[in-house]
Amino acid sequence: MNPLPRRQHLAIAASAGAGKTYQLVTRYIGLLATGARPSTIAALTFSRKAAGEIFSDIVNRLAEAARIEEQRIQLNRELQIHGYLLTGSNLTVEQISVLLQGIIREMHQTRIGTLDSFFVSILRAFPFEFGLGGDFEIMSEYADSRSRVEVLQRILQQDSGHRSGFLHEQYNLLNPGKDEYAVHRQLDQFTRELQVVYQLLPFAEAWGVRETIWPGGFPWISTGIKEIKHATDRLLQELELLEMDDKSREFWKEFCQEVIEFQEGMAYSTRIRYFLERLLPEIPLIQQGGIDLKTSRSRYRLDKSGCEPLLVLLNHIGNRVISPQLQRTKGLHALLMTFEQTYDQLVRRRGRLSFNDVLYLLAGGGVDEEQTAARLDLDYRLDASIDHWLLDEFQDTSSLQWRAIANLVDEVLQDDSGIRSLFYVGDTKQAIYNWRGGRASLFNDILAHYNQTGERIASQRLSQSWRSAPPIIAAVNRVFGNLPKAAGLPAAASNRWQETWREHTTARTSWSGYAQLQVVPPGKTEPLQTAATFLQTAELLTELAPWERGWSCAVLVRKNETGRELVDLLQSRQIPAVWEGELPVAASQLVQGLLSLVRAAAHPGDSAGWGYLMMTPLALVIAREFAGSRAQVSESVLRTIDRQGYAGLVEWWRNKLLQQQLLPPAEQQQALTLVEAALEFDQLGEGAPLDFIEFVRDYRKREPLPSGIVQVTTLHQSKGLQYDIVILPELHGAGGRRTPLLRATGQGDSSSLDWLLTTPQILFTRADPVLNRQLERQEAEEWYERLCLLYVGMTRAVHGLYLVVPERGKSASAARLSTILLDTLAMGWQPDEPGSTIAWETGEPRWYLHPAEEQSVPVRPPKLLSLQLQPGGRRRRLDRVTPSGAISSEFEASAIFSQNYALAADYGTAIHSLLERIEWLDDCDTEALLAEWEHSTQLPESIKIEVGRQYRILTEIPAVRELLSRPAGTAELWRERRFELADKGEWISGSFDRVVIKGDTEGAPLSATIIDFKSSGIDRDNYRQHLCQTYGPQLDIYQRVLTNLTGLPASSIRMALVLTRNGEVLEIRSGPE
Amino acid sequence: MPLLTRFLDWKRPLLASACDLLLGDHTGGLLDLRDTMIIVPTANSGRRLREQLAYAVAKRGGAVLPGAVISPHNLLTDYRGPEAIAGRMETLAAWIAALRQVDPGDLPELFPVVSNATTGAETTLRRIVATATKLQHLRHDLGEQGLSIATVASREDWNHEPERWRELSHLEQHYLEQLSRRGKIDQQLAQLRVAEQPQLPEHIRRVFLLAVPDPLPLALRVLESWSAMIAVEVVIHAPAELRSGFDNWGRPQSANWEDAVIPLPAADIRLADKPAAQADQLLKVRSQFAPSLIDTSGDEALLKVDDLALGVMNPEVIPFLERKLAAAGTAAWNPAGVLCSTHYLTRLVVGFCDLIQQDSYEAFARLARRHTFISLLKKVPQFDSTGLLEQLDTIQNRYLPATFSQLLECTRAFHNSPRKSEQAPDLLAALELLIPLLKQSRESLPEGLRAFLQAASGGRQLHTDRLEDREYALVAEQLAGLLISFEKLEDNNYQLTPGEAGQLLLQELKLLKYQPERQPGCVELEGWLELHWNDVPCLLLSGMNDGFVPETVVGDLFLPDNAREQLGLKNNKTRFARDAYLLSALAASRSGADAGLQLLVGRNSNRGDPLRPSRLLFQCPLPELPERVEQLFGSAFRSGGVSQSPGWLLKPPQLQHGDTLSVTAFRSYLACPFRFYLSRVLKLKEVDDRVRELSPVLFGEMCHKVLELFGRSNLRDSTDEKEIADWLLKQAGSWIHATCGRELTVALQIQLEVARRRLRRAATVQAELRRQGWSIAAVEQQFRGEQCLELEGMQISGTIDRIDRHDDGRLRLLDYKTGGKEYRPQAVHLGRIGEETRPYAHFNDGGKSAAWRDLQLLLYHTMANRDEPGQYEIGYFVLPKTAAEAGVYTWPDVTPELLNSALDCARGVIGDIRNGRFWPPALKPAYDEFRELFSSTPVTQIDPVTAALLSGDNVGSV
Ligand code: SF4
Repeated sequence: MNPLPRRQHLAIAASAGAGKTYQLVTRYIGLLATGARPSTIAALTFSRKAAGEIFSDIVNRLAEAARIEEQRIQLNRELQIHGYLLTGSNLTVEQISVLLQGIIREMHQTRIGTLDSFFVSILRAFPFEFGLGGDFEIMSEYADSRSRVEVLQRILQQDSGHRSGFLHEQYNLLNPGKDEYAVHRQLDQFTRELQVVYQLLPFAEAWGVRETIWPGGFPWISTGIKEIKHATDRLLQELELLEMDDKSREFWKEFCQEVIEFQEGMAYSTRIRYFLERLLPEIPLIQQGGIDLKTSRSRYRLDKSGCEPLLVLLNHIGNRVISPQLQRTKGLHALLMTFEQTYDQLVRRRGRLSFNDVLYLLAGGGVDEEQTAARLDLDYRLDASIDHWLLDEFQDTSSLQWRAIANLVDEVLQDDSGIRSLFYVGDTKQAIYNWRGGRASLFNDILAHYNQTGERIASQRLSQSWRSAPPIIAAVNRVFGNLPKAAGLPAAASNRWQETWREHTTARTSWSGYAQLQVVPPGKTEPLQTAATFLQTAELLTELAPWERGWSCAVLVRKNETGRELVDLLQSRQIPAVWEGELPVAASQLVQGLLSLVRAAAHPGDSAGWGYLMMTPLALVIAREFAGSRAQVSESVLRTIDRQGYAGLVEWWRNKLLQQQLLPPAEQQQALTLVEAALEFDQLGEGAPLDFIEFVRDYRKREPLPSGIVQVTTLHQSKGLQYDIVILPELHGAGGRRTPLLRATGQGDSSSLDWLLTTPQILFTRADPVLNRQLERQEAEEWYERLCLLYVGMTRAVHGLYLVVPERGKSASAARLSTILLDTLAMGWQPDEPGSTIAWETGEPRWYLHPAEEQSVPVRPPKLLSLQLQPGGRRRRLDRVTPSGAISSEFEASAIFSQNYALAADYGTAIHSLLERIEWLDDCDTEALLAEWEHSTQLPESIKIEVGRQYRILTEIPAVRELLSRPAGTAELWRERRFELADKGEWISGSFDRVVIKGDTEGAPLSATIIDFKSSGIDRDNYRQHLCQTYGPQLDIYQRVLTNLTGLPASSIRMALVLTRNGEVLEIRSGPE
Repeated sequence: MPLLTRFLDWKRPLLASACDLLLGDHTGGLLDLRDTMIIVPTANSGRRLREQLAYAVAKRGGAVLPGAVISPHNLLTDYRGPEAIAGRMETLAAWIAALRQVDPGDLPELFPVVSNATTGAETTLRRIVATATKLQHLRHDLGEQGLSIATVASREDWNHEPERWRELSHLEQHYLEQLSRRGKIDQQLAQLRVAEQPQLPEHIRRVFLLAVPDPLPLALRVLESWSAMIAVEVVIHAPAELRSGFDNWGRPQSANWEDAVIPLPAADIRLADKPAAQADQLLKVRSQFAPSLIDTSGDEALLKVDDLALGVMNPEVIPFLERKLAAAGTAAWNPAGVLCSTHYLTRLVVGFCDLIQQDSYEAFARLARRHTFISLLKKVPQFDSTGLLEQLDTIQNRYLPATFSQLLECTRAFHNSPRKSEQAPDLLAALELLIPLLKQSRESLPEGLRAFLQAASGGRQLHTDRLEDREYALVAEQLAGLLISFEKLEDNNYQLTPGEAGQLLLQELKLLKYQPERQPGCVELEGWLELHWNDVPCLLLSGMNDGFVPETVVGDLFLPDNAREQLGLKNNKTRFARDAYLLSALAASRSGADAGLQLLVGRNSNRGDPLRPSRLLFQCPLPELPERVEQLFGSAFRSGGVSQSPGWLLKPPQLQHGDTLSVTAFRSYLACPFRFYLSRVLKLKEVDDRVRELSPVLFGEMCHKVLELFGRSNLRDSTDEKEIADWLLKQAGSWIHATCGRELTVALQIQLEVARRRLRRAATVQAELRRQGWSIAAVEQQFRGEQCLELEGMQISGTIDRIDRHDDGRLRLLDYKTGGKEYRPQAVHLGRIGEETRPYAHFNDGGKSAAWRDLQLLLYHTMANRDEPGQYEIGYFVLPKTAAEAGVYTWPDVTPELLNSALDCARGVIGDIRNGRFWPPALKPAYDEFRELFSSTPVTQIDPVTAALLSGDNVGSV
């Protein structure tokens, strides 16, 4: 192999379908080929699935190259192109196999995974450095969501005087002028949306503070109501001098009156709105002291003396409009701070973290600035120094994520040894996670930053698709190559797109395909438009019928809610469609029925649960097993949950249904899935019935879909996937809410400070230069992201792409993705005849009639074991029997928890250990024995004394003395003798307390006595009989063993219990009573 | 004497050879091994060996007098020094005490971040306990090699963060001192002392270290010293040619095993997706071995269940496997024991501890829904468990208690109220059972717990003949034991705060295990080390994934792998060598024609993390590696598709609507007939106890009630908005306190505040109305019974919030409105025509078409104007979110056409209801209270025959 002198830093901008991961995998193999060890290469991506695929792609590429010559040539060529191999030098089969072996052997040390898991491993190694106590667990989504509820609950339930007052304030500030009573929902929504924003910028100075936002001074100063009245008088006086019609005069009077009455939080009256729309865009002119106006039918000019009071009035309204937002933003900050602190205490510092928390802690959240990753000795605690960074899907990296690794990467880039390297690949055209914190601009920012003084990081572009047929690519080129033609698209967004845009090509030139833009009649409102495009989608699907032809097909929508509606619509038209490709378990009637059962059992007043139950076949089971009694059902359900968990409950009912043949195959499958969900839930160890129901409702099983089922999913979810057919029917929406929060953060504009403000009413936001600049910036960003979404959606298609949009309305409203498609694909198109709905098309319209390629890989048939066993040569496992296990007794459960229980056990052990020491009692020195025993036994003094006392008494009792003394003749003594015996399919193991075997002179056994010491059980009336019953079975086993060991018949074996409490000797007769 | 080494060839399973070795030339009678100590890897392997010996000897007609069969750490338990050995809980307490003794600021390398002021006492506590646990583990890991933190820190060659280790060692000093002050040492120290001066047990004349591939290093010191006196023989299960692969103690040497080829035929390795699928696959393969699982005596089966053993390396698979085995009627037995926390008795205790710690309503409610808890109340005369649960929901919904004491307070209030319907005897009994126990627990946690456990088990008779009872007793004994060590902790005066003590207890409770009995015929779920000792011909190993086999540790805050290597602790290399050896031994001993080894590799974890196949599976000759990689990493893996056959179809019962209808019912029917049927005919309603604040309905009720009272009060003619506002606000306060008790949660306080602001605005509106000449003539005017409007034989009832009379004689019906987006009556009542709009709901108003969505005000209009047409106007009195929208919104021109159309619509609805037309449902109703039950449209879920009946189509035949 040829270790090369330098490894180049490289950034690859790759288009959709151009093989980003393929490039990354090639790079990885290249690094291996030049001698890098797997443990030194961090290859990171976003999803767990993608991470898993990177590793298997690497090893599969190597394996294929080792086996197939063609692949080997290809690999060698690519390694040469990228400079990992010298031209002309090829890796041999042997060399490739060795590389493969290398990475397999170091599999456990590879750092191929998600960014999240990488951060987790750092935090695990440095918990104290980041303010954690020790180990932590990563919460599941379910746990995460529950913990947020818990935090809110804690905030909202505690009543400690000051806090509640404080919260009142914050709550009012959140909804200035609006009295929302759904407190939990409101706060949950705010904190979910804004916690991350807060984490990035926790400082109060940034939130709604005038001085920060307007460093040059707050322009909207209100001078008090007296001044306002004065200004209206002056203005009206000025207007008196001007020529205008009566109507205009009337308008001005109304305006002035309404300005005086105008309050915070009030909606504009018609007149105020009328003038604001005219005046606000012209503020600069008013400030300069001269403006031409037209009201009603009059035109006139207001000069300086009129402009001055007018400006006072406008400033006053502006103040009333903007001030509440400043307040509100402060309120948000205070609320988020409270939430964050409580969350930190209740969740994070207790070692329960979400991935976002991990990141937050690593990026320095909550601890001092100087605590950065750079200080950490990663090499030691992570067992590796990372020399190479390979970052996938880089456009989705968030600021926090970058902050967490920037230092580590910087170290690599500053290292001039040429051994270490950075590689990242991404597509800024697919930057659709801006809203979640993704910062696509990082892609170029990093290039710009490091390449200031010459090219440190090389860059490369790939725009050939390996995925889509030519018509799809043609559509993509036509839309994105013609963006400037799209009306209403902010120039900033369009320009930014142009900067990175390159005409796409496809390697799949021979593939058939088709793309079209279909137009449905215009609708007045967005919901009406959606209804129309969805109906069209249903018709399209009926025609394409992918489920009959084996094509994979997806309808990509923007919002979850509309997607679900679409699924309902399609299903009601007998089109096999599922949502998200994940089947919610709760969609099954069986699952719903069993959940209702749980609900009805735990909440007997819940008639909905019971009512639903009675609509299902479960009603039959209830009738048969519980005579229809609700109380009995409830009791049984709660009992089963308690004893066997929810899985046990589901299993029980499943069995009943199976027995009664009430489970059709589809529900059988669902029942098994529910068992699995229940098992997972049981592992969490929580278990309130409603929690279980909630858990199952969110439980989704991702199954590979049988080809042809129409998958309805969001554009976001579709990223990274591909489908033969893609339909985009929801491109006409306004794209979510108006920018709700102005966030001037992290713009790298060092002259200005970071700030946030909830967006004031739009007229004033536009009128204020500071706010307007920010709004435009954000709008351009939002537009850019929207275009990315369109790009992602269009490029998912392999063969067929269907864009369904409503016809352009008469009144030209703001741009939508749908109008952009009309402008770029079908500029100037008009329906030539009514009913013509195809505005643009290319390719072969009937392409789908070709049969789909056989996609499924043959599955290896599992091989049956065929063994040649000698029949009967094997033995069964023996059933284990122990004498103590045979004791048969009954006792109060609560006795186990009495103070005496442990004492009694200690006492028993003690007396046993003492009695065990006796060889023959008749020649034993009691006191010497006791002394020795006391010395070598670790027991509380009190027990020793008591046991000693008892021992002295016991050994004086004649019956005991007789039993423990040396008998006449030859005798063998066993003390605490253990034995193992296999007998009649049983394995008996245990030990005798004491056995005396009398023998003849030859030593052959004649008879024996089994002695067992019992330290309890004389506290009841008929204790003798009771003890015989209890210990009889145990002694029977002893007898059986002794018979076996000595060959003595049972009749020659005497069995005696010595009751140590009262010194009684009980003879036990063998056999069952 | 030097160590002896003996090789047992691995062509046979270990157990058989080991047994032969011990049998020696025994020919019959007693096999006396009392002078022999046999050291095996685990307790379960010892059990296997003893059983096998007993069996082998019995075949020759004899029995065994066994010696000691132990695992290595038992060599270190014989500590006889003066100090007592502290248990796990006590060492943790000592670490906690040590941590509290030092100022974290003095240990800047160890704790670079000192908790700042924002973290509360509770958090500090958690951190201390978490840190203590980490340190406990560190000492445990070091202890295996006889090391302490101090010995590591003082090593000259120790250059890993030496300052930090010095600080750690300082902490360790404090810790040991905490123990020694109480006459204690920890297990690590005790073991070290034993190892330093090992005592040879009497009678023992020879020792076998029998196939222990990774003995505890400290234990080897004991053996080392014994070997000077007696014969110590190391037995290795491998062919003698591989001698160089092991050290003197029989430990596989990593250098030799790294490249070892493990012969595993590709056909014997399978893949399965998540743990559930792995369990499935495992059972499927197993059933191929034993076609008749139930009848194991059947001779047709070449193999019997007993000829096959399951190994489960991925613990996530175990619950699935157990459940599936149980479903097939087979018990599973896990030699590693079972967590007590899976037993209902422990869960009950945990529930009680939660209640002590959290003191929340939720904690009580969770407890109250445990069957075990409910059973405790069976002693109470006439106790009704359903009653308890119902009362709990009722009281929660009504009073929204947040804590146990609030719950108690409002339950008592409810119970003592004069109304007979308001009784909560069962709930009260449950609360009263807990009150003394909680009180006692707050005074002393162990005492309270003991009392609780006694109460919880009280009256239960356990019989040793019953399996369930034996298990109960096992768990109970574990719990009792824990309680004793907990009490001892108190006796030893570690001065734990109640919080720390509770935390410690819960932590230990979660770790507590018991060993259930092995049932005859059960399936053993053996761990990796145990499998070596199983002698069945066929082994089926699941979870052959990297990380499980071999186990790996990557990164650690104290002992990362390279540190472990340097200290001679167990590390990734030694684990790999051990496991490569073990798998080789398993493969070799199952290579004959009459044996088999099957391996199952998982693809994903429960959470969906991709799993990788074990590295061991790639120990093949290099030329075969690519194919193996493609087999195990390739994409030829698919799980089954989704079945598309139909599921259950629901059959709602057929019921008739009664003869009265509320005016509000029309809106509901017009929105969706089917949901109307569910809620108003079948009367389905969800009830639970997760209400956290006033629902929209309750919030509206509060506003209504306050305004109703106002309408009856003397102030009703006031024009002083301040006076009115003060009165309304006061009433709102009384209402909410009367409803939810004296202490309000913050959420309720906010809601009260919100209501007050809205009422303040209502006061302004009201004062203005009075000034305009309107006065309140009546409130809550009911149209019931005789006053009902009768349409098509249906009695239509309703209650008008208020009737205003103007000084000039005009009359006006007003309905209070607190929610919704629309306030104008027209917009509330009429909407867009949709596909589903029925013909009678159409309204044509001079060319403009609309659909009826509500009829309420117009029906009031009709009722009120029955005697004198045109007498009353109608409108809403709106208490909106925003100030600007407050006011009265009237419906100015109620034309006869409008009224007639509304009445036609009402007739149409009534006709449909009478005809039983409740189908089809609306595809997208504005509000769907049954969204959870019908997660997709009901259309596809209802039985077509029932649906046809609900369509009212064949009403004639009903
Ligand atoms: S004196 Fe008694 S206890 Fe001591 S050795 Fe002799 S028989 Fe045993």
